[in-house]
Amino acid sequence: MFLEIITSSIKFATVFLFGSAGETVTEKSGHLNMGTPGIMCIGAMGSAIGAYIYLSILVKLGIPGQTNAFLAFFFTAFFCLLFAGLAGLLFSFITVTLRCNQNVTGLALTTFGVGLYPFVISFFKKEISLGFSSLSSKYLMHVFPESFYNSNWFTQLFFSYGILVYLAIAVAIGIAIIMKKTRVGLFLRTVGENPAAADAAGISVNRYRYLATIIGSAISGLGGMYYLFDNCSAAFEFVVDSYGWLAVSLVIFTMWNTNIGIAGSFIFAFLYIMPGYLNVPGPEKQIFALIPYFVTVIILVVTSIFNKKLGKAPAGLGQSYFREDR
Amino acid sequence: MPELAQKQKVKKVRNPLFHIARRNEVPTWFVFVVKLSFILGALLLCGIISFLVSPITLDEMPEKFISYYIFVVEGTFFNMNTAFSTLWNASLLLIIAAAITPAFKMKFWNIGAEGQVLMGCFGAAIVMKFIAPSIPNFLALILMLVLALIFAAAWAAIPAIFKAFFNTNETLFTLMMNYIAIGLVAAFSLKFKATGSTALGVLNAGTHAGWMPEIFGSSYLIGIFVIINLVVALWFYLKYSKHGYEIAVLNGSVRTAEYVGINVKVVTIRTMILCGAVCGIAGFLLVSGSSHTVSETVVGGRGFTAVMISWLGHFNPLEMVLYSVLNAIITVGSSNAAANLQYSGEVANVLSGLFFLLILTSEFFTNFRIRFNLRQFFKSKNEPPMSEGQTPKAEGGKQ
Repeated sequence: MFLEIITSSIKFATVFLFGSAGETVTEKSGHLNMGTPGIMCIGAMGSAIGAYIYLSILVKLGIPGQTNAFLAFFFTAFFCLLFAGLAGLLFSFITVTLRCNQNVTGLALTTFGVGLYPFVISFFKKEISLGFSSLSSKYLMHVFPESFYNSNWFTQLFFSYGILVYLAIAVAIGIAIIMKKTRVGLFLRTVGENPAAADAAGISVNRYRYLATIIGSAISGLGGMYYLFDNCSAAFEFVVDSYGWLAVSLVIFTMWNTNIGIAGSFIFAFLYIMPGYLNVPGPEKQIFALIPYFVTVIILVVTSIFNKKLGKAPAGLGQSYFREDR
Repeated sequence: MPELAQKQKVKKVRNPLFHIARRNEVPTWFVFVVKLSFILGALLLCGIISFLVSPITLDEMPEKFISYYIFVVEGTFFNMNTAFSTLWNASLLLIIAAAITPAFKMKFWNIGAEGQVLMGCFGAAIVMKFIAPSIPNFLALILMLVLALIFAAAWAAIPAIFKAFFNTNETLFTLMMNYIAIGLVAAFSLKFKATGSTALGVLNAGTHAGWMPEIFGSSYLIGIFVIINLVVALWFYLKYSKHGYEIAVLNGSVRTAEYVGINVKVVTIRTMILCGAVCGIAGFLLVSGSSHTVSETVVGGRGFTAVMISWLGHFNPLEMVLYSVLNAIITVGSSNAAANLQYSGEVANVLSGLFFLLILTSEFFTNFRIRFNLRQFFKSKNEPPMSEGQTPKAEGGKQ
């Protein structure tokens, strides 16, 4: 049972890891994107649209059911990235070019995305016979064959996941390396810390903010796709938005470092699903589920009291930059 | 290589197609025209989306495009009942938006209205569940109000204290407080759930203890009346009181406020307690007036919508009336239209989100002006602004 808790925590953690890794990239550029829950919903919607397109193409070609692992993954992931990226583009257009308030834009985007997902899905519900769930269980939930990963505890612990779990860890490590070691990362951090200084140094603030927001949103969107096609095995009635807020809080919890995010998302997921395995009665279960939020609040307070450089948010977080303003 | 050096010098100087400048003085009529055209545009967009997604063909219903608006009006102001419930929805949004405005005005990003209202509901529901059946209704309502005020004010005060003393990030703190409140309420409603149900259920359905009394056949009227008065009072508070002035100074500059002897810490905490208290009143009205129970979804995202309304209303409680009524019409009306035009009712959220995004973009056109420099832009393409030696003739000579 212990092994089961660990593996299901890792599975659930991937939703948070994608969401928080994407949001970290965005926040490093100085944009607080409160639209992350909405963007994750839009990502889930995009992947559903991709799967629908793929399956209907197969029907048109007269070969329904002859799915292919690569194409199945390509269609779902491509449309997920596309739609989530478009949502990020919308956010950055309104906040960077039109210079509107980021918090308000984010909240509007969340309202929009959380409504859009079930609305678009309502058109697919009749087409459920196309085989969304077989697509999910065949290709997206496991990379390795069952006979291999079920052989002993070690393989179960490390090789029993879908491709997106490994991708999430790779993305998180990649982001951390880019932030710390490369010129692009340094520039991005400068833009987030002090856009005026970055502008004076010849860095295009707007370009960095646009790209960081679009890429960050696309990564967050993968969290929605993972939740829909792996965690829920393509059952459309579950909506990812409340986990989106947890992903936003995870960014603070991890102090804007995606390496810590890997551990942090595991802890969040562990705390979230542990009560289910402990036979805790309903009310206490709800209290247990509050622990991640409490921990985030404590981290916020502690880092602000000791004013640690390590845990500080990017100094320009949440502020639009307009060169002519003093 | 002299030729290469020459070529590099010819490199065009890029003139931007347009540049954006802040408007200094914006005439009222201009703001009015821009806002109105964006609002009409948003309503038109709602109709177009409805037209596109409805599965009904034009043969079956030739007036399909117009029918969206007919159904919206029918769902909101067709008779007294629907009109009252639309107004009730709008006024709840309005009071929450007005409640968080003082905090926004001093640049305290309180997005915890959802949690603060929910804690108000929680406090009212506790009295309703345990005390109200055994005391007179009048006393029960007062007790509910008091507990709602205490709960919500405390919920708002916690982030404010940390902000005042340690400069903790209030945006994220208040966001977390929302979810802690939601979890507490979920635990409470599970702990005391009605027999054979998974939620608390309607409280005192038989005795109506702690229910807002009905006048003219509607339980919403007292609530709407209270809310209108409160909003006017808040407008007055912000505009004419000393406290409102202190908040306005803080909005301009914290340094200035310190210099003229305003105690920033006290003002921060005091204003947030006020915000929480008004949110508590909203929670009390919500529980006693319409829901008669508490659950984690009873506020239903109104706290977040209110943030947008407060911002779009330029922190002027009277301007927020427009947006809260429009939003209530769009959400309530679109649900009715969706049911009649045979598509999913989730469209209400989509259209409300689109509405806010569009109104947000209108802010740009009132605050900034775009200056096109077409002539300069095309000039830069034809002849680079360079000194002699790089005339087109010289380039031709090279070939």
